[in-house]
Amino acid sequence: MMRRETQLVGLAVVGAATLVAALVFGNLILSLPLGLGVGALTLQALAAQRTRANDADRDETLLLLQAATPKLRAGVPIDAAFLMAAEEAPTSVAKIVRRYCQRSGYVPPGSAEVMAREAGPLTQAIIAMIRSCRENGGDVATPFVNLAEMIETDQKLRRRQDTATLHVRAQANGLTVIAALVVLSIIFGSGSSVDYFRETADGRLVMLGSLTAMVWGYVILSALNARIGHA
Amino acid sequence: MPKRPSITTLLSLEPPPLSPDILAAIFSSACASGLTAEQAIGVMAEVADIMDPQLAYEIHDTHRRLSLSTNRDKTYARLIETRESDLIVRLLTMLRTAEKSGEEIIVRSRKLFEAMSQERENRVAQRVETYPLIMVVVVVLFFLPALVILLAAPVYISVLEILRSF
Repeated sequence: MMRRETQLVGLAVVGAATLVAALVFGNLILSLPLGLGVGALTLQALAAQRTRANDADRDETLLLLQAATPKLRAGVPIDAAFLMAAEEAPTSVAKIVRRYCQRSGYVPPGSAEVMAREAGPLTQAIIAMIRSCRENGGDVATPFVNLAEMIETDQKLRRRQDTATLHVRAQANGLTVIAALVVLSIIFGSGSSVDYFRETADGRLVMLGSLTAMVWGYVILSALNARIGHA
Repeated sequence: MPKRPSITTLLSLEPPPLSPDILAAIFSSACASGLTAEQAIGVMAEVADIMDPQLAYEIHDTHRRLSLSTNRDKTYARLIETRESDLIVRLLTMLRTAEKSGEEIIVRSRKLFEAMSQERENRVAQRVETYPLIMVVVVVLFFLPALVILLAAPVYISVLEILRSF
């Protein structure tokens, strides 16, 4: 389910793009598909940004676990081990975990969950596991060692996916650059050829149709590109 | 019957949830810390809350039903039939088999994670092979006609005007 703010941003972009296109090309109904395409591209860009944040969260979690596990193996108590690891690997994930461990003795009910929600899913996992280790005891080193190994495996897989899809992404970006150059030359260029698109109603409609096709083409290419990386 | 993906999923309008094999990793790690299978499912459910609300709901519901169950084998069988998530179905199948045979759950859950990672790797490899071809089709259908029209339409109009002037 999409977040409410994201939905509002998407709707605002669709409305603004449709309005601008209607003013430029003089046809509100035919401008709507272009506006929807621009809205879809904006949402894809926001989604890509959040995906990058999740990837950063995963990398930082791995750093923290790599620093914490030797201490846990050596028998350091769980909160102390994560406090020491947070000093060694001072990332934003470490900051949240440190805050959680510092308050281990007097965490009011529910505040741990609030704290964990400030960070990504993996930080939430670490906090849930620290809590369960505190409550249940037992072997506290092995689960974190396992989790670190598994995140490492996941990271390697992601790197392989990135390398494998490099040429596809370059192809999509290259085509977009060519299309953008053509459109910019029409908007800002001069001469009889560009006058056709700017001055005549038919020319404006042809340009609107072409722009819509290219925007939706890029939406589909971006979607396919994102889906390859997250099978 | 598999659920049809929504338009937001198809167009990647929202970030994809973390791969479910991370949840399998968390389950395995929770088991390794000495938790029971049900406690480990509880930890997994807490993590799933922030990752994927729909999956989290299924895990919470599975957890609740297992906790209340008086006939575990029957509950497992019914849950395996009704759950939509592949991760939960495989996890329940693994737990059911382990409970029947008395096998070590830590080893089995780790194997499950490794198998899911391997399947994801295969899926990615398959998509890397097929998606570029689909992308070429998209380029041919959406970009080339638009570029050709933008570049050739003015020339075509000029030629028509020249021909009309004769």
